[in-house]
Amino acid sequence: MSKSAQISSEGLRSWQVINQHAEDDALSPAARRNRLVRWAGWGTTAFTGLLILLLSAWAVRSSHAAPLRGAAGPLVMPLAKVQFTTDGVLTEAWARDFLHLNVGDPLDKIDVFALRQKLLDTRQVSEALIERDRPGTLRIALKERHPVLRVAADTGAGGYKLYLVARDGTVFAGQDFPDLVLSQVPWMSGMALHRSKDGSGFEPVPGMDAVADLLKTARTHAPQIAAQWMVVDLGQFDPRPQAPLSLIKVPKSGDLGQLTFDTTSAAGDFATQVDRLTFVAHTVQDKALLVSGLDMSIPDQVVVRLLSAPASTRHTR
Amino acid sequence: MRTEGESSVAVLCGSDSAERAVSLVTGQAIADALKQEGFTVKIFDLPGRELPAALDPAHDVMFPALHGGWGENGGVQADLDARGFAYAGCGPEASRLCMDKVETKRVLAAAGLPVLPHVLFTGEKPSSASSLATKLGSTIIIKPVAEGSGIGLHRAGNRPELAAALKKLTPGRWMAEPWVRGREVSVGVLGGRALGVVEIRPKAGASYDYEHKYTAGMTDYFFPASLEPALTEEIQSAAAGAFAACGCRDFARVDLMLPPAGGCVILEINTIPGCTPTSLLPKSASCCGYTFPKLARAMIGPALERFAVIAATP
Repeated sequence: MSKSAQISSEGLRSWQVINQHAEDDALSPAARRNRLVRWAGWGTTAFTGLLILLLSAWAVRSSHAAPLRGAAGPLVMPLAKVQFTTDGVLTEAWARDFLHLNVGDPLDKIDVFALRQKLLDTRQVSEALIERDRPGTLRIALKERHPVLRVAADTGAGGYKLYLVARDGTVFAGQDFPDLVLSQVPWMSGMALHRSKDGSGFEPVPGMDAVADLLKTARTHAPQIAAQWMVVDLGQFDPRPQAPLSLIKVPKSGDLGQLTFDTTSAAGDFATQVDRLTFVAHTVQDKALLVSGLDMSIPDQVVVRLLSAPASTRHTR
Repeated sequence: MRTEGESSVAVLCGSDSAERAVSLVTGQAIADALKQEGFTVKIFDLPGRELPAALDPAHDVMFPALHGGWGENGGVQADLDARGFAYAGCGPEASRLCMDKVETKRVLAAAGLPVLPHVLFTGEKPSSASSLATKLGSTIIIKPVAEGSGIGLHRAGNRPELAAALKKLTPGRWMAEPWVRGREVSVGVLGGRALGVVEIRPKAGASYDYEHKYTAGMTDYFFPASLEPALTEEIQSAAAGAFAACGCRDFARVDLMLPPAGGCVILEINTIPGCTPTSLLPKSASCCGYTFPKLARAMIGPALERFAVIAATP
């Protein structure tokens, strides 16, 4: 029905034809303020709920990764793995056992400084880096000493024990070295080991870098001769830089007998002396000479000590 | 005492390893070279892991030219020892040791020789890519512990490539090493003495794998390598030291890498190095004046001396 139809015949208008429309936000200022406060309340509640939900999810996930909350409060990171590297022969299994590292131990309670010192005290380890890699890894990186000579030394308890001497002179017990390698390390003679003042081991042997250099040069330039060196005699070795006389002797080098090398450079460097040795050794072999020793310590010469006349030129009656 | 004139050299090649094809080429090349040097030579293409029954330790000096597997892991050497043969090359212990790259590294490290860090795992249960990357860096080479000639080599330049490579591994022992992008060199060792240094430059810029190694033209070789004398000395010293430390005898080839930071690291020792026309040992020996026939004679020489001693032993 149209609005005009609602006008009566007397011309009177009904209340129903009065426009009843009102705007949706037709609120008083106070009502609007109340509505805003209500909406803000709902928003805050929703945001807080979402935050709690996210935090709970993060906490659950983190708890799976490692940290646990102990009864006392602080986070406890258990040791999950040891990441071990070395340039030598020691193994991760040895490190775990020697340092008493067990999976599950609290990572933060591991005294890395004490462990490092314990490793260095073996003297086989020359450098040790230990650090935590949270959440659960302990990194151990070692540098080790390698044997130049070996020596049987009095343990102080009535017995003898094998020790190794490194290039820097450090004397160490030698853990995990393969027999094949040890069998090729010459024995040291002619120089006594001295116990360190704290009794924990032996004082370093001075001048071992010269011995190491000689052995390395000989193994490179005269490998078949050097392979026969079982003992290195340091009885006349003087490690002082300005020493007037300093000799390294090899008491027995196969058929060549005793070899003598100079360390003062008066007779040339080791490469020169080893080259002379190689040349004379070939000559000795070619001429079937029986020799008791070769001395390379005299400048520009090699002294050949003959054991007897050459087999081919011996006079017979 | 017997002399080399009374003996004949039996070159063993073939067998059933993954490197059979290379072994046949090496065997033929060695046989031809020894014939040039005046030796009486017989060549045997072995179908499997059995020595020919016709061989006689009182007459035949053996030259095992067998790459990989039984021929290089000490198996044939132990069999030859058991039957009283004199033979060229390393004995069974050194052969076994050098075939196991991990154990070789242990010995080399103990001797104070430079090696790369590594991680050992099995193809059945490989280490995770993230674990390897944490320990060795993001660029890694994966190789079987007991194969040669670059067989089974996987290179990974990033973590996804590493994960993909780990999925391809076959059962067995594998090792991962950092992929050092340095110069690759090789040094022959004869009688304990290091020969010349050969530099290897694969043309495609990748590492020196099986395909590059045995395909003519895929790799450039520089011998003697253009290096500072001190570095050459260091490389030769490391090679001779590795040879001695592992108890090798007669001959071997030592492969090394020169990291950009300086020095050298030993990758592996080959106790029966390839002697094909593209092989490294002849190149290394040529730096010291050896022709290929002279090298072959030098390689068999100590075995002939042992043959004489064995024959003279009552």
